[in-house]
Amino acid sequence: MAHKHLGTWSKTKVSNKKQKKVKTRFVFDIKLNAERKLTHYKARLVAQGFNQVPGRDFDETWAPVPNAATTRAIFAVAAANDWEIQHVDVKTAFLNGNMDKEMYIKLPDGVEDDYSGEIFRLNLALYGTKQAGRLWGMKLDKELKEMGASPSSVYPCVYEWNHPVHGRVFILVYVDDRIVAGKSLAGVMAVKLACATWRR
Amino acid sequence: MAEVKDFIGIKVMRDRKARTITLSNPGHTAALLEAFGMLMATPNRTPMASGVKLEKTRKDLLPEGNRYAALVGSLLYLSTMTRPDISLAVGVLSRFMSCPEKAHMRAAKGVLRYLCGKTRLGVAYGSSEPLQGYVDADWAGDVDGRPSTTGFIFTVSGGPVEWASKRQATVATSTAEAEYVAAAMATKEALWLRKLLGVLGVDGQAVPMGEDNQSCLSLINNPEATGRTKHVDVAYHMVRDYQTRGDVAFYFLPSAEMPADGLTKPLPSPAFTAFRDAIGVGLDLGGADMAQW
Repeated sequence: MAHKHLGTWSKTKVSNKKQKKVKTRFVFDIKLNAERKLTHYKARLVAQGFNQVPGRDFDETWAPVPNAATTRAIFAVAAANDWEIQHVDVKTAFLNGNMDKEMYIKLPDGVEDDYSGEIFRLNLALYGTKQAGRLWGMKLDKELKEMGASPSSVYPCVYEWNHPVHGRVFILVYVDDRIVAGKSLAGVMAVKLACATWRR
Repeated sequence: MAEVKDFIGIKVMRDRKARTITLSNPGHTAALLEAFGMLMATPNRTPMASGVKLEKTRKDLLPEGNRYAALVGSLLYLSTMTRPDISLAVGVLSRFMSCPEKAHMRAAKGVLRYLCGKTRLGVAYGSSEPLQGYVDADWAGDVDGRPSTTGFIFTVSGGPVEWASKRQATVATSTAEAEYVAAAMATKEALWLRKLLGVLGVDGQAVPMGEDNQSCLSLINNPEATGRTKHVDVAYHMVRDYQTRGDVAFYFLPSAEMPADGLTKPLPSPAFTAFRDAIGVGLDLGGADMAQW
């Protein structure tokens, strides 16, 4: 299970009995592409974020996303200038973010039988937690800046990366959906590779 | 290492040789048609019948728990993502969210009927044309309180990147005033789009803005107030400022060639098709329409 490998949670002795836990469950889905053809089945462990208490379990929850016009403008410019456009997929993106609060979860029945019923300390921004999107966004922002990309002046979700050899490459971030676009294939691939390596 | 095919649910199709890209939402459209049992409906040629004025009569109200808001909300998503052709119809329908009547639901289903023949339409980019804007207004188009309707659309590379069909906040006393208010709305978008394209490395001069009302153009170009325009709010005079500074360039475009016309009022069938072609809405590169099974 991916969660074990990532260390989403850790076993913990809860000294304080008052520490409330957030329940988790599995969400199953049949994934379709834009034409509604079946692509794959999916199971995802999610926290029941509605049990989180504001101030204790989370503070801010917002994260910036690009508007539709920005997205379309990038495709329009790319069409006219024959840019390369690549999609960067991140598996279980939100689990890249570290949980910012001391939070405990209870796993659904049937998971890790021997510990069932126990409470676990949540280390990563599990899907379903209120702040997961924001934590991931902030993590990505930090990583992109370390790579040398900078958020553009018009939109925080459009990053520019001036590569010394390959010229300008743009990165459009829509939470966990990302597009890398630019004139040079090598430049776009370099960014894509850089995004793939920094993970975890 | 895949070329982008799908981004936030939008289907991205590309022809590298022809330098064209289309963005469309066939999946969302089909799902919506299915949800309302309209997949096999008889297609309409236009999303909204021309000449029919929807209004609040407060008769024949839809029963509690009706799906009007859900339907219009879904249509709104489509219209803001890849379907400027239904933008006007959706804008009109959304005026009745608080008191939907049977006639409004019928009109909303009319949009579905239009969509069911055209699920594969989307925005299509494929030329090297720079940013271009078109502004139009329909004076006193809304019969409830008589506000005017703004319509504007901006194209880049021959396809639409930003558009709106929006009821104006103030009631205009003349067509020129309605157009002037519309011009101010569009100017704000133009300034932002110009900046965005600048970041993307496309530096443009003043954004050319097509406008089909001569009196409105005089208002923009001559900073003077006559008795009939004294009341026009300062907020709208920003358009003069930016015209003088050379950020936007309003010019006369005859009504017959005005693509934003279809964003201010429902057009009859041949005019509507011309409007759709003019704003850069076309078939996605995926092939035949789904309704032609």
